[in-house]
Amino acid sequence: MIRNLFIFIKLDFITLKQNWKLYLVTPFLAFAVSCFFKDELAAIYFCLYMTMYTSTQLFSISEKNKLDTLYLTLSLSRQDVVIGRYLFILCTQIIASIALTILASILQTAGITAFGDNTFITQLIYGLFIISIFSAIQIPLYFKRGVNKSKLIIIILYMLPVVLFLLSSSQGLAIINRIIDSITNNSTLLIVPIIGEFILLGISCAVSCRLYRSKNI
Amino acid sequence: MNHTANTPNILEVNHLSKRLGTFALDDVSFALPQGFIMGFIGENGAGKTTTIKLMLNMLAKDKGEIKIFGQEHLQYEREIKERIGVVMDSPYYVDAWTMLDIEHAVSSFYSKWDHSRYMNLLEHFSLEPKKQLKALSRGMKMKLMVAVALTHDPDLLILDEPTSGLDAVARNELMEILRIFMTDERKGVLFSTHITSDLEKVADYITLIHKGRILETQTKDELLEKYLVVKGGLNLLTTEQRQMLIGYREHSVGFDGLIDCASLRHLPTSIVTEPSNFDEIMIRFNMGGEIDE
Repeated sequence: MIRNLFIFIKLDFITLKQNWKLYLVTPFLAFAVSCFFKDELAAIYFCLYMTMYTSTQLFSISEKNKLDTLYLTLSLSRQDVVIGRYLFILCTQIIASIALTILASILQTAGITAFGDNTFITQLIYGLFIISIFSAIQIPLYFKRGVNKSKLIIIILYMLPVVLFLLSSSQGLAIINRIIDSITNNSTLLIVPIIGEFILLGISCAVSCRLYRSKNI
Repeated sequence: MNHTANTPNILEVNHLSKRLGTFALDDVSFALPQGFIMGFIGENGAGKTTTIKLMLNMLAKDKGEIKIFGQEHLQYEREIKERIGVVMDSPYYVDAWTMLDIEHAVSSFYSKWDHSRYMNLLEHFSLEPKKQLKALSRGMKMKLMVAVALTHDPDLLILDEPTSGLDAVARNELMEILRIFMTDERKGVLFSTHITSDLEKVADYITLIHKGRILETQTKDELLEKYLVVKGGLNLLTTEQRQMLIGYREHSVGFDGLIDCASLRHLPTSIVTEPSNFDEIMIRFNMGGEIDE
């Protein structure tokens, strides 16, 4: 089973072959933008956004080309497909994190940006946690309904934080900012988002397995 | 449900049922012995693809049992699928993939994948390895799927309308490949199609499905011997006798229909009989009037 999961991850990478060039330039592009605007966080969130875009793109290509049919002609069970897909998503997050860390180090050494080591790692970990919340909701939807039929729900999901932000009073925002600052400034709490990400994705994976098991292909 | 003494069944379907909206697959049972080709025939929407999808776990069955290589198909899903070659009625690869990409994508799933065999098959089908899938015609895509299905030396081929979109020459090539494939007596082929002329050349067994129910499953020769086309003048048959005919049809000078040979003795001796063929059997059953067994 483990062997098949690795082969499935490879199959996902091949599926996205047409987008490879875009993914390769993403970190450089993100850092160019963050250098230009003197906003280091933009790089992290841009790259992490791209990992979410990657998973959506993967489901979209699969749906368009009926790859669910291909998967079930191969020596895979439905559970392998779901677990393999979550492992692929974790792989993209790891790759993005490594790429960001390398580029951050290079830029820091060159004195181009002013990342402190702790700030960078903290922001990266919390960034990964935030996208895992989105992924944990959207991936089961993709498995059950597909990308096209989930569009409206996903748009609402993405817009919800923005709407809440806009509707919040300045006092409310100040309180939220204080909470976020107190959490992110406490390095001992960093373990919470790391564990939280794995728990969220684990639950999401179990839900996806259940939903995909009953899907008619 | 062994058809051939001492020959194990490579594929066995027992009392399979599945409801999909208004369509229902109802108590489907048949078996394919090792070393034979089974034609799976029926009109569009009869339940051929649904049955195949159930075998491949693309649909969840409501009831029944499917055994492939003697093993329950869900319990040993990975092991079974490594030994199966599948061709469905439409392509399921990424349009932007080349034929080499397809090999990279799927070859690792099969321990017996043979690169040189794949290249030979592509060459045989006049497919250029570096060409993208989207540049291929439907017929070429079907040939590619056949090539992929054969490259890992499967023990069972499951073909769902593999000849749709293929011209007569390509269909003939495919039949030739199946003949070569079947020289190994440990193998088997389930060949779903509504182009029954293909089956007359290669099939050993025929399973006829109609509106989700299996009407016949037996050897090709037994099936062709079982049914006869009968013809005669308009006033030759009584109402009762007409009801014995499957797909009874009247025209300006008389009638025609299909009859089970066992019922032939109930008809007048002056009736004209002709041998049937798969198309005739399929069409007549589709027209209605079959006798419930």
